[in-house]
Amino acid sequence: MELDIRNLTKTFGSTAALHGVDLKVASGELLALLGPSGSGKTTLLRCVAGLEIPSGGQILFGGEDASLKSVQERQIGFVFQHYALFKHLTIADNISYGLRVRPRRTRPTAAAIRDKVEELLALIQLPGYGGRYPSQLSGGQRQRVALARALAVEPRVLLLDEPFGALDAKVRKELRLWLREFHDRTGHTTLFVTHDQEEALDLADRVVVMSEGRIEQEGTPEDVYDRPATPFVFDFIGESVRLDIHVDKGRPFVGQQEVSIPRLPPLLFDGPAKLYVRPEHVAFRRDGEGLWATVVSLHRSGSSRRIGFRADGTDTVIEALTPADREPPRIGDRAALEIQAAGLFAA
Amino acid sequence: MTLNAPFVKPSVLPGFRLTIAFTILYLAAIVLLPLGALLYRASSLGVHEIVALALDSRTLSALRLSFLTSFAAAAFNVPFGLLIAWVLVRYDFPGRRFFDAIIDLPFALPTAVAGIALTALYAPNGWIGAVAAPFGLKIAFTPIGVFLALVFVGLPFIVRTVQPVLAEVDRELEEAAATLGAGRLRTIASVVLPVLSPAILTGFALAFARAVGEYGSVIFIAGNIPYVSEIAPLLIVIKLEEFDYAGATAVAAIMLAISFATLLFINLIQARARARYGHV
Amino acid sequence: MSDSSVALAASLEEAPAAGSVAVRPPRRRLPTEEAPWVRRLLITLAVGFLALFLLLPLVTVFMEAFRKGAGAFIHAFADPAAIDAIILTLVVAAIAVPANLVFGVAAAWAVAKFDFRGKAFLVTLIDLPFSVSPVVAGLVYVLLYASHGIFGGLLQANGIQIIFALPGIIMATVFVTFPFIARELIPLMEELGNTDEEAALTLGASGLRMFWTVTLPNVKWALLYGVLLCNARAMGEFGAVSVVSGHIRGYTNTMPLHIEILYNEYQFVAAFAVASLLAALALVTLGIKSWLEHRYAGDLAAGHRH
Repeated sequence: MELDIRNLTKTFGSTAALHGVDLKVASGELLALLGPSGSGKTTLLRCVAGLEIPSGGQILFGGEDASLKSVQERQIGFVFQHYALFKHLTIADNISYGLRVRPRRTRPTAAAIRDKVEELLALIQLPGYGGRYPSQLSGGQRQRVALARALAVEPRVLLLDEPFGALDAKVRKELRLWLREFHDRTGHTTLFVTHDQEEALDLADRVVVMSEGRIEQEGTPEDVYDRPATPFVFDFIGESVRLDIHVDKGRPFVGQQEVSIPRLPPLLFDGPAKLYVRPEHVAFRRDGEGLWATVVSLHRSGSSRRIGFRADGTDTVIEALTPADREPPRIGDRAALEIQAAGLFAA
Repeated sequence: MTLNAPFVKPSVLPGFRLTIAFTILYLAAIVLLPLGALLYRASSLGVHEIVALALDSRTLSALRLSFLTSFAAAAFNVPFGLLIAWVLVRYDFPGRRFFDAIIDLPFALPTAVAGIALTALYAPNGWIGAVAAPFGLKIAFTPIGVFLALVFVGLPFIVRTVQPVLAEVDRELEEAAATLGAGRLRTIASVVLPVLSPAILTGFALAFARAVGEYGSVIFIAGNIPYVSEIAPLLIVIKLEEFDYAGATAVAAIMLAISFATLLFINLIQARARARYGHV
Repeated sequence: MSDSSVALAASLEEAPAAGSVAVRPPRRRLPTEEAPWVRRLLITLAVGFLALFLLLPLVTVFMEAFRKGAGAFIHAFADPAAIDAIILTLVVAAIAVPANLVFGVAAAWAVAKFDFRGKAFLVTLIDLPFSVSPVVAGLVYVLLYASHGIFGGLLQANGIQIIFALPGIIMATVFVTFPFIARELIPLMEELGNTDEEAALTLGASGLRMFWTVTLPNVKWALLYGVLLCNARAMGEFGAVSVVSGHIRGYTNTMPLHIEILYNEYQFVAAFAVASLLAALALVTLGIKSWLEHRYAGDLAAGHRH
């Protein structure tokens, strides 16, 4: 089932949570909505689910307008950050809840429900857990039960709201891998919300980066990481240093030195600008051509070393990343920096 | 805790010996000694004699009236207490804070005041009594009057035990049920009510226990007709006025036993709820 | 904005645009909300129930008190027995409330700040008077101190009268109002923990100084609330006091007992006039409670039980 979101807006009182969001999700795609808290990603997900009423725009499920449908009619599967399992029901009763509340004519028989529960318990690798209560399960197990409960109703779209947010780091990673495999096997169109870039980049077919109610960039994890489209994405995803530079006759200058940046589109403006550089895209030599700078800091972190350089004639420190086993320069050493990739935006 | 563990866990804070000693002494003098006196008197009577005294037909009918009307009033308060708790927690409307405050009126209003007010209201010439009279419905000085007084007394117990639990109910549970296709009524019945049920049972038990022992609010409206509208606490007073200490003790012992059973029941409900649902 | 989005963007008042294909109006209700008419119906039912069962009896007290005008109302307090009853009630509250205040603070300190064996049992015992009928509360003191009671002979030999006298009334009142202050303080003090007090001690404060400057300010609103409840109940207690008082006019009659006598003598206006004083006290208590809860919501422990 493909999903088409058109010009969706949502305001809470006088504050706008979504400013006209357009987004298409292909059938069977695993899409991550990534952004800091308050970026509107959860609001977008809840609008798709029908848990929030949009202020304007349309949501099409397979070409059919869902705006007028209630949450019950939308046939979606929703997984909450804190599981929202029914504590007074057994695992089996939790999973079968969506089937048991159906009107009599569409409700499966008791035997069919039992079979479905067994099948789903096997799918989430918790066979034999049907008789237990949620309080007897670990966090990761509870979240798998919540997923099984959402899948039991055979949803057209699966929506996950920070599904790993309440779990500790180790379980998070395991469950993330498990969900990717699970998706590859079952192929549900899936939207999941996260504020964890690693999770989004690891797991999703496509990542949508949101900020302040707008989509900043959408693309594959490679696109988003390697070719950030806006200053926000540069800041939010991965590590980067921002340099205040200026552009003169289409050429970028750091202080008085001109810098050469490969694969940069022609600059059509003059004046102050911002340059975003990732530490792994900074190389340095003791001599030759480049942006001349002085070593001001050295910092060992795990298997790599960070070296801070101050470009001549500026206050800005540019960091470079080198393997820890390479002989480091000393503080005060001079070096020529080569910037292998960067983003440049008018200030 | 092992047997050779110290009585109190060491702490840097001062004053434990002083405060615990005072607490126990005061508790002993005010509560334990007098209740002990009752148990001593009752035990010197013996179970046989207590039962014999209680089986006296007037006592029996008073006990029956007290328990039946208390049970009925607590049961009547369950749906209305739930409704009121729901409205106060979930909806905003003009006067909500006023009505929220007024719930505690039966706690704060002296029972004798409530008693004469209810009697004035439900007596044949009272505002409500006058409305009911043409239909041949007599409220004051009948068991119906006792029932209505106990409804007044018991309402806050249900509302005040359900209210905080309802306020804590996770909206996500209701949203989860809705995404799974459950309608609003179904969601409330299958998701919200089960979460509230320990609180409802606790509130019911508290209201019931209070109603069984209630005196001031009831005696004015009851009319106190032996075998018809005479409640068990009143019987204790009557027996005392006749210097029938044994009879008063027997009735009191039975009522006390019921109070303790109710208290035990409440603790059981809460322990079960904790064990079953845990802290998910 | 495209045409197709108009249906949802339409303002609340506007009907769907003419020619709109939508057969139903857009849903504006969240899935966790009830339809407006259901909501209105439930509010009406709840408010109606409260008005009928709680407000009406309260209004009746004042209506009956002023039934024959302000003159008759004031006349009720010209009766020296009424004045005696008011004075006795104030005396009883003035002794019972401070006694339970000291106990409540001591018990809360021991229970909330320390871990000791049998703590849960002690808390159950403190709660006990809540579940004992007031009549039984009176009876136990009669069994203990009346002339035929366990200590009766001893007391008589020394010329001490407890039952049918002030000490008995005070004791019964203390019993009935026993848990109120402790009950307000214990959950709050447990929630606050010991860190503030420990910090005060490390800064060199003495035990008493720590209590006055750290513990008490933290719990002052809950304490005030407990005192108010205790006071309202102490002044209004009827059953227990009725059993131990002996109804001696001008000597052992508290206000609630005086109301009963007046009522049984068919002096309704006088009875309701005295009752209206107690009802006003109850209203003031509720008003302050509501204000405290609103103003200092965080400083009062949630989930009170009375």
